[in-house]
Amino acid sequence: MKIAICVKYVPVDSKVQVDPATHALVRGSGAGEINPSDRYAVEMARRLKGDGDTLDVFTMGPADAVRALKVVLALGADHAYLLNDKAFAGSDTLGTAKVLAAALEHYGPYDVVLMGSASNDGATGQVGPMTAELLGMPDVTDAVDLRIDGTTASVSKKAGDALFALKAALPVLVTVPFGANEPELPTLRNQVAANQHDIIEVTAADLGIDPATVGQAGALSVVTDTMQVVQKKQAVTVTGTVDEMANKLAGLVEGQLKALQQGGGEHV
Amino acid sequence: MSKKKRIGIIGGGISGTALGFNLSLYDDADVTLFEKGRIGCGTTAKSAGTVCLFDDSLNNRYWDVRLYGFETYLKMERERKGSAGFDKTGTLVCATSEKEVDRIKAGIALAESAGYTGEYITDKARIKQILPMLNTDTILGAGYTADDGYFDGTMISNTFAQKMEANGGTILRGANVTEIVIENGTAKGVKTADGDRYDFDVVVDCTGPWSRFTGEMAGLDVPIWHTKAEAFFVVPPEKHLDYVFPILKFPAFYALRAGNNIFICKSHLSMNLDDPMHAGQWDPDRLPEREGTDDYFIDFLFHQFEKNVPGLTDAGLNSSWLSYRAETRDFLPIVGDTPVKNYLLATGYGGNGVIEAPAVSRDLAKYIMRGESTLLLEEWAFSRLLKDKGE
Repeated sequence: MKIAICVKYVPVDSKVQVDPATHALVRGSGAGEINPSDRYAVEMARRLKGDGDTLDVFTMGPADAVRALKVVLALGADHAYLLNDKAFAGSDTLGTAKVLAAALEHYGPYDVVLMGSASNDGATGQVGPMTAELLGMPDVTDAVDLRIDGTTASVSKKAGDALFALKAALPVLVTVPFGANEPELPTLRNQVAANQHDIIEVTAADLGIDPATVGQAGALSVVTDTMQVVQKKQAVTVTGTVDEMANKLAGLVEGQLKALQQGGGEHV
Repeated sequence: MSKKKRIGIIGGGISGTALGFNLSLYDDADVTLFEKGRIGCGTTAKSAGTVCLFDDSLNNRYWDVRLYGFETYLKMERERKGSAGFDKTGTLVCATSEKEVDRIKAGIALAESAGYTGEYITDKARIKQILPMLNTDTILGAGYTADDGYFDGTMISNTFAQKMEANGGTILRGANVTEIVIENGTAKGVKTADGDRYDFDVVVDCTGPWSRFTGEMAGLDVPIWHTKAEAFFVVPPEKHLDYVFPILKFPAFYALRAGNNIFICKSHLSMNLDDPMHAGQWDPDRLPEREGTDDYFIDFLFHQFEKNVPGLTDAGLNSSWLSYRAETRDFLPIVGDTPVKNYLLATGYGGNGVIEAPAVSRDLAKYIMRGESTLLLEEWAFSRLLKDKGE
């Protein structure tokens, strides 16, 4: 069985630069890490992989994104592909899906493709289903368990508090939410070995992608503005004896309830 | 009534808050501390906070500095438990050469003279009892004490800040100093980003890795370099250890427990200021909250562990962070006067800010308020670095 995992390298903190013209994040402008929900997809892929199976990892991003690939290599991936081309920069979700689908087609076919349900920067949750659509394969989003029996995938899909048991014919694309399992950590030994592993760099030309159809040029959705969320929460230190603090807390809670009932209130 | 001496401190990390507290003990001091972010939340927050009674972080010559720092924090803990974030794990210092054996034994003697316990152990089975995952074949012996451990630089900074404010000092949080006011070669005050001017008799730069930039505002070339402090948090294969993991010191690296994780880092004295992978001039404002590490350091630590602590080679790599230490050429801090009159430094602590800040601040406060210098201030003066440059 051939398994593919697609991961995203996302910024780790709020100190990121935003392009003033495109309003897009400037990739490579700060430290990054593998997208949190992708960790759970990697774990699902790791558990799925049996003797004789191969696991390939893909990421579309700047040169720094190899760090995400190295983590997945340390967790058992066999091959790693960095999809890196100026033409890819500024891609919307459909553009990203086009690049991933082209790469999966080029290096596949794969029986199972896994992705995190959503990235913690864009958080659209669209790339997985779009990629499946482009590849003509069924997809199941928010899967917390996946088992393969012959040519059939049995999937537990989380929807609110409910779990749906679904079956899909292979090949299938599955997205995995944050918290779906308990991801293994790469060991120091495996990470050091993975740091020496070859990373295959892939361009638009390698995949036969027309640059006009992806990236900023091919984007069908446009970010019109970005703005910082204004933090309204305020911390209050309550001091005094236990009784005094209890009274002050009761007053604060009552005040908040009253304000909320009146449609206002500060977030404390 | 005599006029109070007005002192402005730039930086609210371990250096600035320790100095602010010590100055606030003088009735005739009017102290104002400027912190552009939050107290103890810059590079101080990424300090390991180890204060070991006899490791190699600070030469035995400065034993009193080490002891004063340690006992300052123990006193804090006695006054309010947790206020210094003490985790009493003990320390195991491994000797890989005869020179280190001598240094460790001398350190143990100093610790014992101050009433603490310490032993130099050559019985390998006994060493493995203390740290089972160690390979004792690579060491001659180890110094061990159960009395010390690591502290929390952020907690300490905030405790110093609280004490300073209780003594009447002023802390301006979120106040970014953007200009040092210099008139006729003398520091007269500072201006902040919001345009306010504050006049002082003395301005002290306690900005650590930011000092080169802060010094530029005073027309001063502060001779510090940044060395990378790349820390990795690993989960041992056993997940939960059934023994207390002590601070583990080797000449090239150290390790300590952090919850159920083990914190590992290349030691600051093993950094080469001429190696661009180790040291350079960078912008501390661009340090990420976590990650940002180089493969070089994880490779380095792995090879150290493979040889010395094989029990950690298959530990899970949980997270990491990058910080910058402010180091001078001789790995000792710069304290006191500078060529700019009334512009003083308390910076360049490197990896030893938590250890050294209490004693340095005690002496520097006395110098500022009473004009009395000490041997420590003379040895760690800015002028020694000018001599190194042949000036």
